[in-house]
Parts: sequence; C-alpha cells; structure tokens
Amino acid sequence: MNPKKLDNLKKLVSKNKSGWLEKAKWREENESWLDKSAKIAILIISEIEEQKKTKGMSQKKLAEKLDVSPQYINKLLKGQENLTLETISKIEDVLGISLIEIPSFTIEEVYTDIQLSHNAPLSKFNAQKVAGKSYDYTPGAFYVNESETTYKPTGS
Amino acid sequence: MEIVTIFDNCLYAVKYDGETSDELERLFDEWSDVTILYEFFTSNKKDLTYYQLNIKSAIEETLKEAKEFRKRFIRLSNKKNPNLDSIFKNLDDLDVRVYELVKRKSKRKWLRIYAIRIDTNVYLITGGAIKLTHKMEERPHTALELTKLEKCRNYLIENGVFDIDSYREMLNE
Repeated sequence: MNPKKLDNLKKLVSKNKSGWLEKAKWREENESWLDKSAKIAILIISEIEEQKKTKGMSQKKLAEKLDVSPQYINKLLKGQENLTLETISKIEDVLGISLIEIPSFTIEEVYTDIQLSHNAPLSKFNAQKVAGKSYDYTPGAFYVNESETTYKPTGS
Repeated sequence: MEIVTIFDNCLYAVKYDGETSDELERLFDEWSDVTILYEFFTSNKKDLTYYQLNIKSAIEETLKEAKEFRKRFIRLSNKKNPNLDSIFKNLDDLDVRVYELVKRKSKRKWLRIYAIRIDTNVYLITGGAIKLTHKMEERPHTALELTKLEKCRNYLIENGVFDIDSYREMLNE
C-alpha cells in the first residue's frame, strides 16, 4: 500500500455514489419476472424483424395496432417491463405468435396404499385391496373393469 | 471525467463527461437491455459464427452471463475486504506481472469489465464490452476500450495517483 498514492486518489473521488448496487439488488429481487420479460422481448423483437420483410411490421406499426405509444413499445422491448396478461394476449394476436404457454390440466387418481409397476403388475390381492371386488388382474391389464378407474404403470 | 465509489476504499468507476451513469452501472444496464443486445448482435452477426449461435441465443447467453457476473459483484460488495486481485487479471492472459497502474480485466464468457489496478485490491473501472474477437484491436467497440484504459491511466498519473519508485523499477526490469 502506498498511502500518498491513495490519498491522491481520494482527492479525485466524487461525493456522488454509483447507482449500480441499488439497481443490482433490485434486479436480484425481481429476477424471476425480469427473466420472463426479457424472453418475451426477445421473441417480439425477433418477430418484428421477421415480419418487417413480409408484412412491413415495425415497432411503430405494432404500437399503432396495439393502440399504445411507440415509447411504450421501446420500453417493453428492453425486456424489463412487468407485462399484464392482457398486453401479452394483444401482442400475440397482432403478431400471430405464442409468447407464453399455460400447461393443460390432467386429472389423475392416486392410490397410495399400493405401488404399481411393469415389474410388479396388479396382483389379485392388491386389486381387491383397492376396491374389494374381483377384477381383471392379468399382466398388462392395468385397469379395473367395474369402476372404470385406470391405473397408470409407474417406472416406464 | 468523474470518479465514483462502487465499494468503499477499494473499487471505483469512471463516469465520463456527458454520460448519465458510471461505467459499471452502464455496463449492467446495457447487458440487461434486450433492444441494445439485439442491435449489438445484429451488427456483429459474423462474429457469432465462431460460437455457432444465432442472435436470439446470443442475447439469452448474455443475459444469463450478465446475471452471474452481477451476482459475483454483489457477493464482493458484502465482504469487508474484497479480494479484487482475484477477479481482475492482466489484459494479456499470458502476462502475470504486477506493475504500476497495470491494465486489467474481469471476465465471464464474452463479457469484459476493464480496470486499472491502483494498489493491492484497489481498482478503477474504466469500461467494458462484449468481446467476440481474439484481439481488442480487431473491433472498434473493443479498441475504444483500450483508448479509455490509456486515457484513465494518464489521468491518474497526472493527478499523482502513481508510485514513481515502482514505475522506475518497472522501467529497469
């Protein structure tokens, strides 16, 4: 360490602090939606570029079709805008692309007292334990005839 | 030119005349801005051939790397005496010498933060860039960073942030 050198450095340092840390912490706290917003912005900006050649699309034209200001589109394309579902849907309609996908729901009955697998197909004992009735328990017949309940083999 | 504090008594950054942010703040703003990254990779599309990436993937990669880079600096900000010598290395990977006001870089993939080493674990950030080529001189935006490093080094020398004895030792080497 050279004290004189560091003293001279301190004379040059402004009283104004950097805004970096504050912004960095904000990005950290909002990381999850910021990541999604950036991915959406990448899709939109690429699609505008793609449709520029075929449909004459531009950021200005997108703004007009969405009935928003060009400044809002600029902001949105930075990938740091907390978009509403309404805005996302409108953009999807105008550009004819999908920006987000919601997984479909599936209904599955789960029985915890027996374990089914290809290696251990439904036995007579277990089948009766499930419903107390006599069913088709031949290997590969993973369903109970009378109740129409389907058994999904595990481990496949 | 203004020098602002990033970490008290050890890490500083330059805020150039006419700029609204210091260099560290500007870099992380740009590395998280999809529009800026799209324009950058469109202009430097040819350099992406080496990485076998298209523009979309290059932007995603930059966002991901910038996030990790940011986390590295946040972790350092929580330390009492951050070991900055461990994250800033000489510009030339083969040069490991430590000399007066040596020009250094901190990197993640193609992201670079350039700085001047003032003393042990004391640095001044002068700029940064997305470096897609081998040599900084090969592209205008990285060549500009070399100019900034030199300009800032001269500024420190002119203002006495300089150990003349160390400099003489370096000349005699």
